[in-house]
Amino acid sequence: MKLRFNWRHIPLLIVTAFSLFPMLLLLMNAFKKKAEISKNPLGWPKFWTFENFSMAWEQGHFDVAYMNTLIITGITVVLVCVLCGFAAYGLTFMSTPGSGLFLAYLFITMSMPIGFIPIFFMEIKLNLINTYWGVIIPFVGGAFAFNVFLLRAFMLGIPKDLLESARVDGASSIGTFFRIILPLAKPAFVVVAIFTTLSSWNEIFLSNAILQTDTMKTVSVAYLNFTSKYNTNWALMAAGGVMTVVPMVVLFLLMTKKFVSGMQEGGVKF
Amino acid sequence: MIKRSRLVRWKGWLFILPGLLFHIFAVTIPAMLSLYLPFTEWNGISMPKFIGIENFVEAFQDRIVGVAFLNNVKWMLFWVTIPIIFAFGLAYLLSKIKRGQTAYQSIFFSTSIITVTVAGQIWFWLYNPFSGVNFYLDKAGLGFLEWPGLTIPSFALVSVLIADMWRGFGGNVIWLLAALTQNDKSIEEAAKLDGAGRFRILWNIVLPQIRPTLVVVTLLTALGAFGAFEMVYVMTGGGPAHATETLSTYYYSLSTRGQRAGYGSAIALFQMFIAFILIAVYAYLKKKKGWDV
Repeated sequence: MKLRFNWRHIPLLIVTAFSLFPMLLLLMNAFKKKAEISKNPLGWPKFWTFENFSMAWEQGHFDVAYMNTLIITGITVVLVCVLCGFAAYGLTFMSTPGSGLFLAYLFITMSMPIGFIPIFFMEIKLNLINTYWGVIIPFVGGAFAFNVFLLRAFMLGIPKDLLESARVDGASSIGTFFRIILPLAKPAFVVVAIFTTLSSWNEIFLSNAILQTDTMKTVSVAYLNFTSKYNTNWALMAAGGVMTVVPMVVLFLLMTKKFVSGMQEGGVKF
Repeated sequence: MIKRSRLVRWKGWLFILPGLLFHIFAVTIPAMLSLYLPFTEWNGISMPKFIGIENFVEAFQDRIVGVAFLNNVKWMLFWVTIPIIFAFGLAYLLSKIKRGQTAYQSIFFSTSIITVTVAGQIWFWLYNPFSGVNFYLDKAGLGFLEWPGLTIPSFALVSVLIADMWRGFGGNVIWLLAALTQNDKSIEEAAKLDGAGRFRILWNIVLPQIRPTLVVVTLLTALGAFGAFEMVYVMTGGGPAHATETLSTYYYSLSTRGQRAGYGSAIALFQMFIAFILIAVYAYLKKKKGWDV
């Protein structure tokens, strides 16, 4: 059989270049010397240098920003998984009275845009500005409805008999959740975890308003400051940009299949 | 016995409650406040003072609100046409190839994982009048093609839109391809045997089958377009001279920098109202027209 080249790859490859080139540009500029960029802004670097990274790390205070982001993202992901998992479990397996009404309520609130101004001023009144909880609470609350639906849809496929037998064996409700539901629904929890990680790492709408002091900022928000401060030094900005996105790129490369299948099933919109 | 089992059933709420408390704080209370705050004058520090509909009167006379609203409309018209047709074209091409579907999908989606602050910066470089793409156009003697990008108001919005499309089209490709692969291939084959042309098959057989997905994707895109914020805020901050201002960026800066929370919420409520209309249109199409979406 003769191997025939499908013409459809040509437009697809062009779009691939359109997608990848801007990211490649960021990477290339990060390795150029400052002087080279003005002569060779979009090309391959002639001399590779690593000093941009160490400089950007120091001047952009990336150590602090990374720490903040890790704390915020970590707590948010754990809370979303546990609390949404609990709620989905309660709705699916415990024949909770009023669960139908509750699902309707969640569905309605899901279609509403974030009430940014009320949240912002509630947090001023409650002294939550410049605190980790100031962003974690709205992140978790905002992600609650959607993820409950996602996890519930998955849990509906788990046979109830399994829980009955666990109950007969004397397991408590919480024990059943951690020992039976969590392992069985693991694929769904992984999807929830990676998309929550991605969205809280990249979030700027709330974090930019709530985390105002430099010591509290997440990397995505700190990068905004960084670029306005070192406006003229492209190499430095590029290195900072690479450091801002690298954890998510690694996560994406490790779990590409999960991301794509998660998008197909969940319809997660950023 | 009965009493005990009822108690056991109510225990379900213990599992729902912790998450619900977060949800009430972050969604329910803000939603109720956003119905009240628009009728108040509030600097964000003292207590809100009720002033009736003054904010709305002011908003209707505010030139910037008009510009921002028009930008949102343009943003929506752009997003529901070009990127969706583009994404559909790509999904259609992908559905016809045998190898590399997942690879293409993940590459197209990979732009969405780039933090918007960094994505905006990259496009800032590309649009830079002195280095960036224009640098090479100049060198090649094609200076007349120069793209002024973000500096000139009339080009700024389109420039931001292109950057936003670069970041966001991948998700649509994945959804539309998922819908296309579920299509019944036998109908297509039958039509081909009957001698139907490529475009006829596309229009009469492929598109009707994926209409539910297409409608949902369009609705979500339109809703997203009315909330457009991130890319604008990062790339231009609404400038130059409010040329790229959207409703979101305007109320954002009004409330965080301008200390006019009451007035800002009036604009936010207006935005919610439009989202409500879009959802109502969708619900109407779904119910009355019997669109199986």
